[in-house]
Amino acid sequence: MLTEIVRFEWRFHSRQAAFAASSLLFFLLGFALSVTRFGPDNVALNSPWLVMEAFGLLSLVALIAAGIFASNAVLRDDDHRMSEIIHTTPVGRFRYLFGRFGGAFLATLTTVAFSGLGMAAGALMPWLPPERVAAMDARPYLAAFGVITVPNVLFATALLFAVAALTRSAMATYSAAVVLYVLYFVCSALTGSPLMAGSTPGGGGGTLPSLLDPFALTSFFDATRYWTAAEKNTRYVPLEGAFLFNRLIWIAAALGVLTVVYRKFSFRIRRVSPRREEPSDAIREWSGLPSIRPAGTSWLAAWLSCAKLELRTLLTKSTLLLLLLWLGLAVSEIYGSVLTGEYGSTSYPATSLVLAAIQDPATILGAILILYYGAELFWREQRVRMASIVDSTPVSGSVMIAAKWTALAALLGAVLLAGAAAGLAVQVAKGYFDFEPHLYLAFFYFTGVPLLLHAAASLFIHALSPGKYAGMIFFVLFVIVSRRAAAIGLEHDLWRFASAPDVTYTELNGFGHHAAPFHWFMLHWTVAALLLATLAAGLWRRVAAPLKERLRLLARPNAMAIALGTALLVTGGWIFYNTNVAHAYVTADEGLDWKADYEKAYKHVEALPRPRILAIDGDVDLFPAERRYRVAGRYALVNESGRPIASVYVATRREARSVALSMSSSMSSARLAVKDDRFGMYRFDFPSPLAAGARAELRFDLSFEAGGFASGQQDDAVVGNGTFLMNIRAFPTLGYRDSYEISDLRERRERGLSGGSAAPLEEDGAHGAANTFVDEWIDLRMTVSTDSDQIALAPGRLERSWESAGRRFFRYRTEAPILNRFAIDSGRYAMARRQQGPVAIEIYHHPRHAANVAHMLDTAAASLDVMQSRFGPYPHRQLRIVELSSYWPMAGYALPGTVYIREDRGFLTDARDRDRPDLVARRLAHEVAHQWFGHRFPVPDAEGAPVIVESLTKYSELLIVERMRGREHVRQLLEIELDRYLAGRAGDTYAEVPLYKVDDQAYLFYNKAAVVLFAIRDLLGQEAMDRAIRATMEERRPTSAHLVSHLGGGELVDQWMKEIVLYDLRVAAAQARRRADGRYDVTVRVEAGKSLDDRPIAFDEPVEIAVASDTKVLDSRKHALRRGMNEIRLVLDASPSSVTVDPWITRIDRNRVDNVKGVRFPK
Amino acid sequence: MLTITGLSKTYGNGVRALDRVDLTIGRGLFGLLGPNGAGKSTLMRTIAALQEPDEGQIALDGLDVLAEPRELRRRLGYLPQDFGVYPGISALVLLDHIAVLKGIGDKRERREQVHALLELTNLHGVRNKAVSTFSGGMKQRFGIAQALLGAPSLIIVDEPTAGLDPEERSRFHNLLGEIGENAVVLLSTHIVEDVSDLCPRMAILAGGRIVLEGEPARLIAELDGRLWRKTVPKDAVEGYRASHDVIATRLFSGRTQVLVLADGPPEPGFEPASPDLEDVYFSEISTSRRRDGIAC
Repeated sequence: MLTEIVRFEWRFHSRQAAFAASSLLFFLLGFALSVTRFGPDNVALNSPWLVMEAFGLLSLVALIAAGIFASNAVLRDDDHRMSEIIHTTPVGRFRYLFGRFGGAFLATLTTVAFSGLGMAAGALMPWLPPERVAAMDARPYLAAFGVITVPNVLFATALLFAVAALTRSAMATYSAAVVLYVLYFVCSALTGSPLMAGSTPGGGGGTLPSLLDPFALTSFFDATRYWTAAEKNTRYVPLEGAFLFNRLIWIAAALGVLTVVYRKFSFRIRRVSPRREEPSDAIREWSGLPSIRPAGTSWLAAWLSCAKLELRTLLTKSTLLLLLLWLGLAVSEIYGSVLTGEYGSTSYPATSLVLAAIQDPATILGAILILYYGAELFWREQRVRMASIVDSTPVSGSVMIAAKWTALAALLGAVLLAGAAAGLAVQVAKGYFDFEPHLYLAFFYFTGVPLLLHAAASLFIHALSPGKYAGMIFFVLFVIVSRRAAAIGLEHDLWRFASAPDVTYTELNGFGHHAAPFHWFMLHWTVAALLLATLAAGLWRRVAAPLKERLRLLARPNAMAIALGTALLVTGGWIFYNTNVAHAYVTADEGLDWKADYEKAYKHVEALPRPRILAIDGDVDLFPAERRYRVAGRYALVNESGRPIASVYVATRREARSVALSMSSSMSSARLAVKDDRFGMYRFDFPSPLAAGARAELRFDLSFEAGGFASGQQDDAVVGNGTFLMNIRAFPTLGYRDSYEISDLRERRERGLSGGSAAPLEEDGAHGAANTFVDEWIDLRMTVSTDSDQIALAPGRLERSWESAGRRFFRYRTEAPILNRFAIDSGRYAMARRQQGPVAIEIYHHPRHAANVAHMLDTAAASLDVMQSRFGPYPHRQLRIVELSSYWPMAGYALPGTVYIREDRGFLTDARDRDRPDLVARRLAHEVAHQWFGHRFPVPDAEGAPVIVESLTKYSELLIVERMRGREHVRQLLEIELDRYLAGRAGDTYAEVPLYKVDDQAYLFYNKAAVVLFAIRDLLGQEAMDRAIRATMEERRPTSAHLVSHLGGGELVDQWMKEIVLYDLRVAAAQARRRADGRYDVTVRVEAGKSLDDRPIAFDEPVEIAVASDTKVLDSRKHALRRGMNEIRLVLDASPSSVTVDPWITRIDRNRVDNVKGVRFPK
Repeated sequence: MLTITGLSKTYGNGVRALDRVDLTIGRGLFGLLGPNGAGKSTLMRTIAALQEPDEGQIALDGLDVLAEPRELRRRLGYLPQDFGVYPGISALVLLDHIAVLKGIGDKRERREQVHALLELTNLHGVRNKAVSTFSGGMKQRFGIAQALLGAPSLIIVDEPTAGLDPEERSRFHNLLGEIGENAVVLLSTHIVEDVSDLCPRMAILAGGRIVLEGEPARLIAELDGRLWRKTVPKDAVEGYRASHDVIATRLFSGRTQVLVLADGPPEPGFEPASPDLEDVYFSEISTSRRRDGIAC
């Protein structure tokens, strides 16, 4: 009988339009994941790991299907007024409930299974790169489906079914679905899931979030955090530990929920005590019927009356509960991203940071609410069977649609308001009272408007849909397409409803030039939304009619729709003019093709000899308010190549509006032989070749201006406030621009380009560079003019500044040669200054960002001290620290004599808590250290170069922080570096290389290098380490091979630098016994192991072991350990409580938890 | 005056719901009788401009209903056969809301009408209670109240007495009679008694066609002397059906009576029966079914 009911239910669900729509949706989602090459480049699309991740992510969408089938299973009797019939049949409670549940569960599971088919079908598409597809095997799909999807769907369906059965309210059911989302978001906020804020998978959230996440994504990422690509391709996530527990907990929860429903469920029809009839006087005797004909209600009054009723429907307990939950989530989001940032740092809860933290969650929640409430509101008249009464009144469809839109808008407004309240609450709780109300208002605009537009679209989609549930699925599809369609080539924002170029708010520049494109796009999409709403209004009385009839209605001419359609063409045309005519529109593929073509056309130029720049004399006119600039001047050139040079290539940015170039030597002027506008390349031929040692001059005059606006990334170099103009973006360069080369190996291969990685490191270190390498040390004289309220910066000493014609001029001149890389800055800065010996430390910052200025001055001074005493004098008289706006991706940046710290990653960081990693000091020390490693000597562009430029900088940074905060603080930082290295190697798309050959893998040259270089210092001692680094700096063109050889070539140092070794150290046991003399005998058993490429290798090296009491370290020294179990005996003066092997983190050990053990005192 | 000409509607699944329907309905009550599936609801909904016909015309006092549905709705009162209400909304608020939708823009006027209708339908005492909690009869009365808002000149009531007890039904009939003095009232029902009690004119709709139209009294008179009845054993009914024009069988005190249409006594044992409207109805339905080849 139960199976009969389940079979009946299954037939019922599988014949609904929603079932077909949902199956299609899941198939398309799975297919899209595969064909858009979801996941890391070196993990197969059909590998066990990636398939499991995909099923996990799709569980979030499965929740929508579960909500639809579960509520349909329970509520359809009430909706179709079948309750009396069904509930009076002899079917038992058990069979009724579990039959219904079984049907809903099977239906959900089946539609979700289509995603697996989609993924597999997608993976078979011939255009996918073969290395992304493993031999097709059903097992990864079955395993992931069984372990992830089945329990997830079971729990989601059970919970939603329970809520539907117990409340008999669709609204309450939807709220429960949203609560599940919120629960997931909270878990991912705690752990940094890939769905939130685009961080890398996994964040080491710990066990609790792992268990709490009902979809197991958190525990999945946690369990596979250190997996390498090879493991991801072959291994199945073992069902053990937190992952297994998570699955069991949520299956148990599902069963528990079902038990509760079974106990509480009642067949009695829910009706609030029917009123007594008054039969004697039911209808009064006739007494004056209304005789006045309606004069007509204004549209506004009708809308108001409808909107009031809609709002009353929304204002339920479950909605309020939902808003409260969201408030909590928003607070935890803010805590998670503002108050606990990278490296465990914290920031001031500045309004912009607080709002940035909740913008994405608010958008996601808003979309989910539109999904559920939009459907509920749209179909309400049909559902409560009031449609014919309402439709027989003269009320226009536009009133109804507008009222429903209004109700959704109010709901979205409440979500944003709750978000803003959470922001304010956190600010107040943290004692931060600089509220910036205009930013809160902007939050409503920038986040709210796109949501509002989606709400209109949802009403339109429902107006065309065969029913409520199918409409919901179509809306999901619509949102996914409008948000993600760039992946399938619809890159232009005009393709995607309610989308606009990203708006970056920066503290320095506000919304700046990003606001106008957004306004235009929103105007455009608002017209589109009004058009959709108008069409929906036209369909209002026909939503139950067949699709054909509705389509015929849509095609009927309608003055309003025609007017809006015309307006849409106008706004669209205006935007298109701005993005594609006034501004060059380049798709991602076109951009890459351009780069490839450039490389193919001009790569040969790289090998040609070219003169080098001796000096630059330049005039830069910045017009920040208009975002235009002009760069003019001359390069003094000399031919040091040792060969005569007949022609010289000059490269300019192709975006330049006007370019005037001329070249001459002392003998003659060169002829402009080639002018290639597509690439901005110019070739000058000398009538007679430029002899070796001869001088020449390049004169240039280029201007740039922002025309129109971009769809996608805006040009953020010269902006209203906080201009950061790097030389390559403005000044011409000589020869080939290798900065244009595509670095992504796959993209290179697809365009027939080989190589792409750095030149191989030459082991002997003899010269270590391509023969075209030019050591370009230059003198720089630069006059910069800018708006009268700004300060302009360029390298060197400020010789003079003056005002003229309402503009300010600044003349700078370098006092020592610098490598040819510099930038021009301009902004309304405040300036703080401190003299440290001969060096003036100057900080140029946003006037409101003064909190860290003193600390930065201290750090800069300490950095100069440490670096000068160890690695030689600082060559300049100024050390400028400039606040960089958050348009730029880097946290900090160093150029000769000037370092940049991004506003939100240094100036807003709250470094007051001494127990937290001092991110301000770390970051600034790092950039200052680059003045030695990076700008003091040229480093050949070859494998291992980042060891010199970045790793030694990282090492110096930690030395400086150690000086400022002590060794324990550095130990805390190393813990994070070790974790980042291990996670980085797991997520790497390419094979890991030994440290000394690193090319562009940041987890190696920063994170691994930090651990390894500090370990080497621990091994060799500070003095030997400094000597080795200084000797490396003495080399003409230092490479990592030089560094390794100067480090003395010890076996361990070689192994750490030149191999990939992993350690496994473990305290197996620690026992102590009190002796008669009051001292303690301590016996420690330590297990040691080491592996090279997963093979165990010999172990014979000194490793530090520390024994501590509750309050202090009692004994810490190195012990020679061998592979396997080692026993160490100590005699201590005080009672020990714990033993730690390798306390200072000098070994790469994947499990550091077992490096510590409490000391036992056996009886 | 409501004039319907050549109204046809065929649904996507091939069902011909209306087949060239012509009707002219003047002021007063007009009864529309017909079995389930005869096309009554389609006709009602089409007249109420809730759906569109494939062809044909509808005019109300010179107003082209199909071209100006909105204008029609201003003059329309519609009580659907089976309706629900927004949950949790009180009678007063809901009626006021519908009044706004109907176009009673003036606040004072609206309040007067709403209160008057609540009084009239005796819902004033429970005006602050949610309509969704009302019993069937109370809800039906609410339906009547909303249909009367704004003094409509065309009132369509679909199976209005379904949920009412006899007492209420009678009062409701009186009310409809009153309304009929000033408006076209189209009463769709399958309860013949409703029509014979109330309607000076009526039509019978079957298979999407008007099979009979006229004044009930005259239609009844046409059957005079042609209707015969006989009490027969239950198992003999099929035999009579085969050999005679049986328009109905009914149980009378537990025994089966067959009604036969014939110009003279069909066979011994039949006695003449005095026709009523129900007999007219049955006779037309049975004729129409036979014509359409639908087995009973």
